[in-house]
Amino acid sequence: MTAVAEPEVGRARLRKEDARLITGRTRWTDNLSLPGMLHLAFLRSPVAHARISKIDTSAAKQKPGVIAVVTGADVAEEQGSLPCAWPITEDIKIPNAPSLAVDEVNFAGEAVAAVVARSAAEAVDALEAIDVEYDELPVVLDMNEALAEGADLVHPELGTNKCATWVFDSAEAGSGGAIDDAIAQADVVLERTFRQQRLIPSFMEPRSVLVDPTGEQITVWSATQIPHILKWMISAVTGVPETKVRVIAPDVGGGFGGKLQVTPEEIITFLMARRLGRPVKWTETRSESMQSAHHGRDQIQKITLAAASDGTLKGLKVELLADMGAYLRLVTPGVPILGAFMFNAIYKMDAYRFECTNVFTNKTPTDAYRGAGRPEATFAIERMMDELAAELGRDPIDLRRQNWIKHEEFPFTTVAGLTYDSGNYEAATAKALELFGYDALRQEQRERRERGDTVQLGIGVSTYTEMCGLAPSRVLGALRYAAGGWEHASIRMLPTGKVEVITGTSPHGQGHETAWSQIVADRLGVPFEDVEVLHGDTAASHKGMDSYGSRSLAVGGTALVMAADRVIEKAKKLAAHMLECSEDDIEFSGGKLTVRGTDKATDIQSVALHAHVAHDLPEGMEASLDSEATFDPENFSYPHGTHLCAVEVDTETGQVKIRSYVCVDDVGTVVNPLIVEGQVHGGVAQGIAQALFEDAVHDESGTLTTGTFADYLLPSAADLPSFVTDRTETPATTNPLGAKGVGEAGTIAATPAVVNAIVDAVRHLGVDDIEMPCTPMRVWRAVHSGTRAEGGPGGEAGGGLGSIDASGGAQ
Amino acid sequence: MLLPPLRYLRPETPEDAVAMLSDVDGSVVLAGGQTLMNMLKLDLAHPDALVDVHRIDALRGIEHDADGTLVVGAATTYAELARSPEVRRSHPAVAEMAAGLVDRQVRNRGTIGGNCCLNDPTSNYPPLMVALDARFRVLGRDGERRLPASEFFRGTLATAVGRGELLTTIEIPPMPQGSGVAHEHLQVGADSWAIARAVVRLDVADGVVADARAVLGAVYGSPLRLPEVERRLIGQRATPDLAEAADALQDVDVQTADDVHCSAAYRREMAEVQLRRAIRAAVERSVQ
Repeated sequence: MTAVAEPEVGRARLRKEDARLITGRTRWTDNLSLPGMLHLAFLRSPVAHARISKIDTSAAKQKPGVIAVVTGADVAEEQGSLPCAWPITEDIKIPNAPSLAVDEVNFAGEAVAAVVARSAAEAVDALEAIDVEYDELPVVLDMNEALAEGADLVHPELGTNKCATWVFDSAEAGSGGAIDDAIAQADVVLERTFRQQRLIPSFMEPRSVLVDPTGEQITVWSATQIPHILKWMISAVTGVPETKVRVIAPDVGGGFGGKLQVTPEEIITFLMARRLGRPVKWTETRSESMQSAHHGRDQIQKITLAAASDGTLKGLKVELLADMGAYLRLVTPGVPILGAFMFNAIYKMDAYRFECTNVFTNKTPTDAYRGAGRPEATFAIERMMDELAAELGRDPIDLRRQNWIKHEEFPFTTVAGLTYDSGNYEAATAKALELFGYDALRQEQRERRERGDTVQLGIGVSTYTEMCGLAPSRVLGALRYAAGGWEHASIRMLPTGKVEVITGTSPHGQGHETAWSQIVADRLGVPFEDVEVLHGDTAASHKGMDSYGSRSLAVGGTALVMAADRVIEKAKKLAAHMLECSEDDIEFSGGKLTVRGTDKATDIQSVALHAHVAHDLPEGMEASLDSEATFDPENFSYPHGTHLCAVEVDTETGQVKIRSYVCVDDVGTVVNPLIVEGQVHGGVAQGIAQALFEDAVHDESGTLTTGTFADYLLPSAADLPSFVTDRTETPATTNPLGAKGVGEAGTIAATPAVVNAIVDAVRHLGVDDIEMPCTPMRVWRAVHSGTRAEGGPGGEAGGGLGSIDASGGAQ
Repeated sequence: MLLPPLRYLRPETPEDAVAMLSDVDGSVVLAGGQTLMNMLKLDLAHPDALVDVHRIDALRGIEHDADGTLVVGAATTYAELARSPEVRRSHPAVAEMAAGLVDRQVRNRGTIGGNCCLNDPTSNYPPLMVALDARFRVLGRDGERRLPASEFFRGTLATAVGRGELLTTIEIPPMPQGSGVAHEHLQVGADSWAIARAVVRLDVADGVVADARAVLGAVYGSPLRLPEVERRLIGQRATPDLAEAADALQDVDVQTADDVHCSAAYRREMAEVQLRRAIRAAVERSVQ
C-alpha cells in the first residue's frame, strides 16, 4: 500500500450490500427459522372504540396446531405499558398503553388476542375461532370536535382528549419580539389553514419479530430501526434485566420512521416465547401493517404571517393541532415539536410563536415518518411565502431572497433560537434556477394563460432547511426527551490487516456498510474491500442510538472518524517503537507510517499484527490498536436546498402532471454521491406522494378505508418525472466530516414545491389553496369553484367502483 | 385470512376444462389470477376448486383469419398483445391498451379473457371490445356459442358465460379502411382504478363518418354504449367539432359511484370530458 489511492470519500461507489438486499437472499427477519419455532398471529379489533365485554378463546385453543391463546387479561401482569420516551410537558396526559387490549379497544386494528401455533397458517386460522363481544363506544375522530366542550372521550380516565400543549414564544425565549406586536405593526397579515393529511409509512419489508428464549440471553430479531433502544425498552416494559436481552436488527427493508418504534407485537412475541420456552415468530401482512403500524403526519396548521408592504417578514404565528391517535407511542407527542424550530425556516423575522395542541382520537397512533415535524413546518412556511408573494404581486423567488439569511451572515441565530452554522441559499437557488430554465417556463406560463389553454402551467418553489443529525443530548434533555443523541463506533484492527468496524447506527437501506467503509478506508489508508461494517446486533455493537432523523453520518460517521484517529495515535506510538524513533517523528499518510525525513517506514497492517502478537510492545501499551469513540454533537446539522417543480394542470379534469423537477441540495460534504442521489430521489418521490397521492382515510366509524395499496396510492415510476438533481457543498462546521445528513431532505422540500406549483398554475382562476393530496377531483373542484377546495368524498365512501377488484388497477 | 383448502385442477384442453367446470361443484376459472387471487386473499370469493386454464395452448395465441379478423385466445396475456407486431399493425388500439396497463408484473400475468369475463366497471377491455364489435366464443358441454359483445357483457361483474362454460376466443373484425379508434381515461395515479373511461371508433369514408361507436367504461352496467352520441356522429364530416356530440351524454342516466378518490358526480363530469377527447382523437386518427 504505497501508492496513493484515489480518495474514497467522494467516490460514487456502488453499494456493497445491494446484491444480497435486492435479491432477498439475506437475513430478513422473516427468512430466519429456528428449530422448534412457533408462529404467532394477532386478532385485531374491527371497531375503533369499544369495551370488550367478553373474549372466549376456548374454541381457538382446540384448533389444530394451536399451542397457546392469550388475551390482554392473560398477560396483564407482564405486559406493562408501551413506552413513550418523549413526555413533552410536565402535565402531559399519558394513557396506559397495553400491548394487548385488556378491557377497552381504542382504535381499529388494536391487538386484542394472540394465537401461538405450530404453523403460521394454523395460527391465523385459529383467530377466527376467538369469540369477542364488543360494546361499542362513541368514536372520536375529528380533532376540533375532540377538543370541544362535552366531547366524547377516547380515554375517559384522563378527563380530556387534550394530551398536551407545547409553546415556544420568541419573546419569552429572548430570541425575538412578541408576535402580537409584529402582527399589529405589519402592513400585511395573511392567515391560512393547512391540513397535513395522515400518511402510512409504507416500508417495503413488513414488520417481523423472532424471539429465541432458549439461551441465557433472550435473543430478539426484529425488523426495527432501533435495536439498541428496543433492548432497553423491552427491559423497561417487561422487567426482564437488560443483561438478559440481546436484540438483533438483521437486514431491514426500509423504515422511514415507521420502524422507529417499540411495538405491541414485539412485546407480546417476547412474552410468549419466554412463557413457552420456544422460539416464536410473528410476521405481519401488508393489511395488518397499514392498519396497525404507526401512521405519520396528521396535523391541522393555522398559520398567520405578518409582513411589511415591501415584503420584509415581521412575524409568524403557528397554531397546530396534532393527532396522536389513540396512544402515545415511542416519540408520538414529540413529532410536531421537531417542527417547532423550523417554521421560520431560512428566513429572518422579528417574532415567532408556536403553539401545538396534541389531541387523542380513536385512530391508529401516529409517530415518526420521514422528516417528522420538519416537512409539516416547511410546507406551511413555503406555502405562505407563495401566498405572500401573490398578495404583494412579487416574484416568489425574489421575496424569498429578500428575507433569507445571507451566506455571509452565518453562523446565524434564528428567531426560534437555533444557531445555523453554515449555508449558502443564494448559491443553491441560483444553480436550481439555471437548471430549471425558470424564465423560459414563466414565459410559457404567460402564453398559456393568455391563450386560455386547457392545460395550464404552474411553477412551484420550495427552499428548506432542517435541523437534523439528531442530536445534541443536552438539547434533547431540555426538550424532555428521555434519551441522548450521541453515537458510538469502534474499530477492530485484526491480525491479518483487515478491519472490522462496529457502528451504533442501524442501517435499514441507507448503505452504511459502503459509506462507513469508504470513511475508514480513507482515514486508515486501507483498501475499501478490507473493511467490514458490523451493525444492529447488541452483542457485537453494544452501544448505539440507532438510525433516524438523518443522524447516522453526521453523528455516527463522526464517532467513526474519532475512533479511526485513536487507532492512528496508537499505531504511531507502536511504529515509533518498531522503527526506533521518537513518536513525534512518525508521519502517518495513506496507511503508511514513516520516520520523518527518512525512507524508514512501516504500514498500519504490520503495526496491527505487531500489536496483536504483542511480542515487543512499548512499556504501558496494551496489546491492541482497537479503539472506540462516542460523539455527541454540539449542534444539529442544517442541510438546505432549493427545489423547483413545473406542473401541467389539466383544467378540464384537474389532473396534475409533473413536467420537470429540479433540486439543488446542500447536504455538506458528500461521502458517496450515488447514495446521496438515491436518498434524494426516494425522498422527493415520497414528498410528491404526499402532495398528490397518499391519504389514510377513515370512515365515520373509524375504520381505515384506504387499507390496501389499491386505495392508498403510492406513486410508481410511471407517475414521476426524471428528476434533475444537483448539489452545492457548504461543509457543516459542527463535525469533522462536514456532513449534514440527507435522509429526509427530499421529502421535506418536495411536498410544498409541488403544491405551490399546482396553486400557481390555477391562481389566475381564483384558487389560493388546494388541500392535499391534490387529486384530480380536488383540483377540478378548486378550478371550477374558483376557491380553495376542501376534503373529498372521503370517509363515507368505502367501496365504490372497483372496490370489488382489489388488485390495484383495472386489469 | 389464509386460503381455506381447495382443489387445484389443471386441464389439458378447453373441453377438459369445461368438463371440470361442469362436474366440480364450486369450481371457478383461474387464468392470470390478477383479480381472483386477490379476492381469495381478501376472503371475498369462496370457490371449492380452481380450474387453471392459463397453460392450455388452445386458449393462447394471436392469429389473423383470411378476412383480417384478429383471433385472440382468451388466456393471451396483455404482454403478448402489447408486443405483437401483427396486432400493432391490424388493431393498434388493442395493443396500445395492453401496453398501458398498470405494470409489467400485471401485464405478464393478466389476460384479455380474464379482464372481459370479470367485467368490472373499471376493467379496460370491455368498452373497447364493444367499440370494435368483438365476438366472444364460449364453450360449454353442448358445444360452442358465439356472442357479439353487446350480448356478452350483461352488467356489472356479469357476462353471458354461464356455469360450466369457458370463454375460449375473442374475435375482432378487421378495422374498416379509414377508421380511427381512440381510448381516453382518467386515473389518480398510473396504478389506480379508472375514474372515467371512453372509447370511440369512427369509420370514416370520404371525410364523412360512415359508422360510429361511443362507449363508456367506469360506470355501472359497464360498458355503456351511447346510441344517441353515435347517431349525432354518423353522417357528419370528420372534424374536431364532432366532439360536441358528447353533449348528448347530458340526457343519459350514467350510473356510477363514489369512492375514496372521487364522487359519482365528478365521475359523470369526467366521463363527458373523456368522451369529447376520445371523439377528437378518433377523428385525428381516422384522417391520418
